[in-house]
Amino acid sequence: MGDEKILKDAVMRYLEKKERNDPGWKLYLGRESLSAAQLRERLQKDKKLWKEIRQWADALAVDMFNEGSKKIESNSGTP
Amino acid sequence: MKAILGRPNFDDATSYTFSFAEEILEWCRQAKIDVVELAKGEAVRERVEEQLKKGTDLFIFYDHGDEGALIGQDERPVIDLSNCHWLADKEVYTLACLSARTLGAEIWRRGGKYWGYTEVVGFTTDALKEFKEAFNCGFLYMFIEGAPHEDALNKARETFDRLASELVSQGKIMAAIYMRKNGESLVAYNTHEPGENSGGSGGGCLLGLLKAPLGIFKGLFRKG
Repeated sequence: MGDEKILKDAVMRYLEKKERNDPGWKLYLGRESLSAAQLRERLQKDKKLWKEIRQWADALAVDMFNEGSKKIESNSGTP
Repeated sequence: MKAILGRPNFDDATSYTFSFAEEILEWCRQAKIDVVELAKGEAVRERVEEQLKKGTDLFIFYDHGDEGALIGQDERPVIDLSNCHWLADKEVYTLACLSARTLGAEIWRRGGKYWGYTEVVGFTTDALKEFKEAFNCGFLYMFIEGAPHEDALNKARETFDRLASELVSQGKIMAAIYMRKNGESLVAYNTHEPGENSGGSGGGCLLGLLKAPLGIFKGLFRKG
C-alpha cells in the first residue's frame, strides 16, 4: 500500500503540473470530459478509475521492459 | 465498394471525433470508395436506415456508443439490436465506446465483420494527432492498403503500442495510458470470435505474472 501511495502522489503531482502548463488539457472518457483538476479530484474518491490508471501504468512499465529486452537482443552481437 | 460514413457532432468529444473522421472520408475518396457521408443532423436513425436499405458494403461510424448501440446526432441509437439486421454480412468500422461487446457480437453472429472497442474509449487533448492515427489506422490497413483483417488488427495493435511508447517519451503519460488501454480493447470480430482471446499484446495477462516494482512508474509521471 505504501508503494501505491507513492504512485498516486506521483500521478497527482503530474496532473498539477499539467494543469499549470496546459490549462485547457482534458481527458475524454466516452461522453465524460475531465480537466486535470477534475481528474485529480476524481482520483481521490473514484477507486475504479484509479485502479484503471494504475493497471495501464503497470502495462506501460511491462512494455518498457519488453522494449528493453528487444534492444538487448538486437545489440547482443556487439561487444 | 460502397460505404456509409456516419459522424455526429453534438458535444466536445464528438467535435474531435468528427474531425478524426475527415481523414477517413478523404481516404475513401482517394481510393474511389463510393461513400455516402451522413454528418451532424444527417447522422440519425432514419437517414442511416434509408441509406442501408439502398445497400452498402461498409458502415463507418464515429463516435459515441454503448454496449448495444451506436448513438446519433439526436442522442438516440442509429443502430441497435433491433435494426442491426441491416448490417448482417456487412463490415462495420467504428471507434464508438463499448459497442463491440453486444452490438458487435450480434452483427458478427449475423455474418458481419465488426472493428470496434469493448471498453470506454479514452483520449486526451495533448495527443490528438496520435489518437487520430490510432483510431484511423485499421481503416488504412484494411481498406486502402488491402491488408487481411487479422494482419490489420495485429498492425493496429502495434501502432497503438508504438504511439503509447512515443507519448511516454514526450511526457504525455495520461495520453500514453489511454492509448495503451484503447489498443487492448480493440477487437475485429471475424479475425476472432467475441470473447475469444484475440492474441493482443497481453499486458493484462502479463500483469498477473509480473509485478514490476512501482518505483519504475513513478519516473513516468515526472515527465511533462
